[in-house]
Parts: sequence; C-alpha cells; structure tokens
Amino acid sequence: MKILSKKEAKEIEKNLVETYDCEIDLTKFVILSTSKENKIWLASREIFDMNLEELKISSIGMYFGRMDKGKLRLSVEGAQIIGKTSKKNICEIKEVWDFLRGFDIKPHKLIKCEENQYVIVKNETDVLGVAKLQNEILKNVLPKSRKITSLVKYED
Amino acid sequence: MELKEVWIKRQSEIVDDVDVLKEYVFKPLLASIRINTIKIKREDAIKRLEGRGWKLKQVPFYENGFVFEEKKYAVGNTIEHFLGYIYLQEIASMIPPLVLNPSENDIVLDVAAAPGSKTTQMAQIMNNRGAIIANEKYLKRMFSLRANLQRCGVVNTVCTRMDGRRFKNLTTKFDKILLDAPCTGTGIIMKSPRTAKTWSVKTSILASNLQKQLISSAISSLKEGGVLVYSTCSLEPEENEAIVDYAIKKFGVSVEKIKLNGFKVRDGVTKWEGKTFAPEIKNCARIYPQDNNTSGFFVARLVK
Repeated sequence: MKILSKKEAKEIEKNLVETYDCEIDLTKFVILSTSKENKIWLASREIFDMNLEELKISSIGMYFGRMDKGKLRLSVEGAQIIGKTSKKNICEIKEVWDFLRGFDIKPHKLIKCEENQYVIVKNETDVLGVAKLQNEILKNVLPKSRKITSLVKYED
Repeated sequence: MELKEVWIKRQSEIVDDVDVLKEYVFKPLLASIRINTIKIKREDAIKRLEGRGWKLKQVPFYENGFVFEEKKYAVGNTIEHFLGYIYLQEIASMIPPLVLNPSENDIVLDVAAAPGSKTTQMAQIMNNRGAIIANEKYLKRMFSLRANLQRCGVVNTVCTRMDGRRFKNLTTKFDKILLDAPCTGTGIIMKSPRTAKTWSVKTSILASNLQKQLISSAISSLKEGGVLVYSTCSLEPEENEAIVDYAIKKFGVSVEKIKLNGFKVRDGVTKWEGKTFAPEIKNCARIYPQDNNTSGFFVARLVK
C-alpha cells in the first residue's frame, strides 16, 4: 500500500467533482492505493502516528473504490460519501430488491447521467452503490459478498 | 441438551439462584441491534425503523442499543443492514466497548477483534477518529471482520493478523486495549448449545493458560495510566477472576468498579476452590443471563 501525495489526492478529488459535481474534502483522510489492483482506501490520519512497519497488516482503513480505465468505481461506502452532495451522474431506482440481488435494472430517473459512466444508484435518500450505465440500463457491479439473496420486503 | 452436573455444582457455589440460571442458559436471546451513528443519526434511524413498524426499546445503559419488543423480520436481510445503518449485536456484547470508552484521540488495540461487533462500536464511540488496531489471528475470521468494518464505514482501523501474545514486542504503546479473550463460552450456551457438552474444567484451565499469556502481552503494550478492558463470554472463575488476579499480582494494575444504568451486574468472586483473590476483584462485573435476559459475560476494567 502506498500513501498518495497531496497532488495525487487532489487528482482524485478533481475526478470526483468532475464526475459527480459533489462537494468533497478528502484532506481529512489519508488516501492509500494498492498499485496492483488500482484500489483506493481512506484512513484516519491518526493511524499513521503508529509504527506500522512492525505490524502484520491485512488492511488499512475503508475501501473507497478503484480506478477502472480512468474512471473511479466507488464502493458502496464510497458512493454513500459522495452521494450525499452529488448533483450529476445519479440515477434513482425503485427496484431495490432486484438491485441488491445483483440484477441489471432499468433506472426510474436519470439525473445528468453520462453513458458508460459509473453512476450513483439511489432509492429515495438511500445511496445503494454504483452501477455502470450502458444503453440506459444499469449494469450491476455490486460485489458478490454484498448481494442479498433474501431481502426483507416491507409492506407499505 | 443437558448441563453437566459438575458445571451446575460449580455455579451453585457462586450464585444462590442456580435453578433460575439453568432455565436461562437455554433461553433464546432477545434480538437486539446497535444503530451505527457513523452512517446515520440516531434520531433518523429511530424514525425510519419505527416507520417500518419495528417495535424497539432502548437498552437502559446505552443510547444506541435497542431490543426488539416484537421481531418481525430477519434483520440481517434488511436494507438498513445492507446500508450499514444497523448492526446486529447482543446486549451484553455492547458493554465492553462502553466500559473501555475510547476517545477520538486514542490509539486503541482490539486483541481478538473478529467478527467486529465491538470494534465497529468502538469506532463509533471514537467518531471514526483516532486509531484502532483490530487484530485477528485467523484468516477465516478476518473476512467477517473486514466485511463488517467496511459495511459500517469505519476508516480509523488497521486490521492485523498477528498472534495476540506478540503485542508486547511492539514499540507502539496503546492508550486503551480491549481484550475480549478466547474462552470456553459457557455464558453463551443459548447460542451454542454444544458448549454444554464440550465444556469441562480442563477446557477452562486450558483457556486460562492462553488468557494469562494474552493479558500479560496486552498489559505490556499498554501506556502507563492506560486502560485495559478484559472480557469473556464465560462464567468460569478460572477464565475470569483468576486472570484479573494474575494481572494484579504480576503487573500491579488496579481494577475499577463497573456500573451500568438500569442493568444488574454481580460482583466478581474473591474466593474460588481454596484460593483467595485480591479484594479489588470484587469490582469486576459478572453478567448473568437470568439478571437481564442476556448472554452471560464477565467484564473487568484495569488501569496500569
């Protein structure tokens, strides 16, 4: 894992602002990346007050997303952080159950969405993650470990 | 499944209501959750969950802990769980992080962290600031720990895979340590009835050997004035008071009294099988299933 420089962190912020028209300040975190998988992690600053070299580390901080052909594919938690303020590349869905089971779905409403972009998927105020918008269909990229096979459906 | 006679006899030497204990040992636990304030405000979560028709009652000692008065759903399969707004956590398991009470500026060690209930709760108490080393020796358990930390949006944690006995060798010293030690689990027979069959005095003694090594390592890696919370889900004095007594005698730590609003705890035992423990062992908390309808637990707050 490598700690990103201020310049590299700013590049990520710029990418996020351009893609999602969001208000984001990543300076309160330390941003890390794994070069092999292009994964990006956010961690609290205080973690780096410790001598990490003497630890057998499995992971640091929260998985934020990964770079995929120049586009940042956010994790569910990354999307929840960005989705609070984003005004672009957002889609609203009604079929939460289908989305969480991992199906591709047709969005209910698109807000300034670009084709072939990872758009933030929302249901009312809940941010459910991201999906790739292709031919007006949301291609589901929810990780297998996050899919729910028997979601509780509430009665209205 | 029946309880072993030897176990009942031992417990009857500690409590005077062993017949009630015998009933509660197999009684299903109340379903309970913790609201994860890292992701949602408490008030918003309550409004939302009540809007779903959930009938919840706040745990008396913790504003973010709730018990279902009437459980209608498999909580782990709800959208709120997926989103990380709630965490399924047993009531007694919420106690050790509250007793440790880590702050935003602390460097914390969680020696045996998986599956992450207490780690995520500590991160929440710390407002996702400071730093936690969440250690788990076993790879298989590491997956659930990392998944739960991720789902709860925790950024202040480093997951490590080390033998808990090796922390004494680190140059980093900790402000607070949670040692929720591996144990025989006689407090959670209702969750794992097999324990009633597999437990023996020998298994408790074997567990206590490891627990002594773990507490020694933990105290050695604690800053002067730092706090260590030792907990188990066992009701056996060999795994509880005997370990704290060992820590007092070897390291000179002090033991602070634990009080929880509206929740009954019993004093630690000071005499067991011919041995007399340090008087301050009384300050430890024994949590019995029959007192609050929870699992059985032992919690001690030690100051170096």
